[in-house]
Amino acid sequence: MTSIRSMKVATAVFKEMIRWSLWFFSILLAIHLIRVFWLNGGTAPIEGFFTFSQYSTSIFTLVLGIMTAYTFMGRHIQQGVSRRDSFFGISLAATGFALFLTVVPLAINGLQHLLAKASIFPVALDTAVVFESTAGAAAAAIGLFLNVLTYFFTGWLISIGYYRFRWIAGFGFIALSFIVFGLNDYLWKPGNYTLDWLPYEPFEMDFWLTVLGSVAMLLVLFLAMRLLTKRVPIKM
Amino acid sequence: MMTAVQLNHVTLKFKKFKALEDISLTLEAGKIHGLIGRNGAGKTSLLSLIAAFREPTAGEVSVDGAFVFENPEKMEQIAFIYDKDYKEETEKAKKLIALASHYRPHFDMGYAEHLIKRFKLPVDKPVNKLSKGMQSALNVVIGLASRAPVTIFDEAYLGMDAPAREIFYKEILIDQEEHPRTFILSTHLVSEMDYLFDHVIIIDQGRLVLNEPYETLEALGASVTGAAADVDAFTATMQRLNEQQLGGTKSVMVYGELGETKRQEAHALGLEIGPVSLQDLFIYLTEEAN
Repeated sequence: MTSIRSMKVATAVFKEMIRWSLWFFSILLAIHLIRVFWLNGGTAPIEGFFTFSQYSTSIFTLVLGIMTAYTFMGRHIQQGVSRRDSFFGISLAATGFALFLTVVPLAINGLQHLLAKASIFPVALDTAVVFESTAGAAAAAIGLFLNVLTYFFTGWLISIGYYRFRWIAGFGFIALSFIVFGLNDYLWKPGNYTLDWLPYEPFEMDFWLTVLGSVAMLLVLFLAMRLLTKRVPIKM
Repeated sequence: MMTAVQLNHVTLKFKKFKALEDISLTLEAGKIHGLIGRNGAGKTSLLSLIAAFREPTAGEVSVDGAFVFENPEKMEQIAFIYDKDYKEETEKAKKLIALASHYRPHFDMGYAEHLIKRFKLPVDKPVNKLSKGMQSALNVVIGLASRAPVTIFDEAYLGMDAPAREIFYKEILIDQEEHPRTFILSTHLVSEMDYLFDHVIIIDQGRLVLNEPYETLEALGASVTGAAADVDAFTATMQRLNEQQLGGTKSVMVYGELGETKRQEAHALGLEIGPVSLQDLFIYLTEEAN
């Protein structure tokens, strides 16, 4: 599945994504530190970096996904890379990048957790929540990883909709993305999801069932993207 | 490195509009092909099919006998350089060159640096801040230094001034000597570039009008120069493409082969017979098709 060419694509795209994420994390960390040191609102504990960054990280990857069809695919085909190698390369880069986006907040959060014990922060930080949830840090990491990847593929789905079918059909892909987000919320946000007519809350039932549901959804997105990019005409 | 391109009954439709209709031709390996056509003739559509940017509606495009669309080995051998819109490209020029070297197996960075100097390309500037001519120079640097076995330049000179275009043409000829490949040069500037071509393809309204080696074009017409009255009399029954007069001397381009008898008759009249210009031939053939 991964040829030398798709590995070339993966390394180039991954580097590009890391470069963009350095800006993103720098800004996010600056905002977080301002909140911790100056805008902490008194004595109530505030969330650690992992919880603080989760939502923004997902939105960041959604934006990266949206940029993908326009930024990467045309560039790859012009450089003599096939759509297949471009697709697998981008997917591989996105998976590696989702891992990076999971590990970095987790590492910063862990650092905060250690520093909090030394009482260097003016306010209590709820850094332990990540490590003490149902299945601990691993569960939090798996959850963020799958969410980030889902947001990336959904962004890519929206952009390929516009790229391939123009703007009216593009709206249809936005509607499709709302269904994906609804299902994602249903899986990962117990009691806070949009599809409240569904019979039960998987996250409450079993963490691994949620993971399975999330992976299945990612597989469907992955296959849909492969079909949509397989023979796509390149814009000039 | 010698790669041939074949198009077999290729048609391309955009809804009801036929951009290309039943085109069959072979682009021979190691030659410089001039692709000529008026605006909207279908030149870019044709080239985008060779570069696998899209699929033909009917027919086949192949490189050395293998279909090119989604064929990684064949796609890698084709570099398609066109007038790209760089309005949103905030990367520096050197980053785009580095990207090309990352993907292109035959990319020659030393040659790219030589070309950068030749064109005086400011590689540390964001591409969207470069002038149109410099953006074209960047495209040319990437296209030439990629050393792809099939290199396509679709009006790559747009915005370049005359000296920069001259550098471009010279570099094509020099590099073709040392690293022969199959070039396709699509152009409007026929009279400026015709000396580069080994083979000429003219398309009009999506149809193939001419597909000939450059040297055989001479047989398609001639220029007749001499005393105005003699030239007029000699060419009276011929298809005239163009005429120019300076004082009593007139030069007329005619379409159609001049036989040996006609040539001797011209000689007897003191008329000079020369080759027909590609520009005149192009204008005539595309007007006739319309």
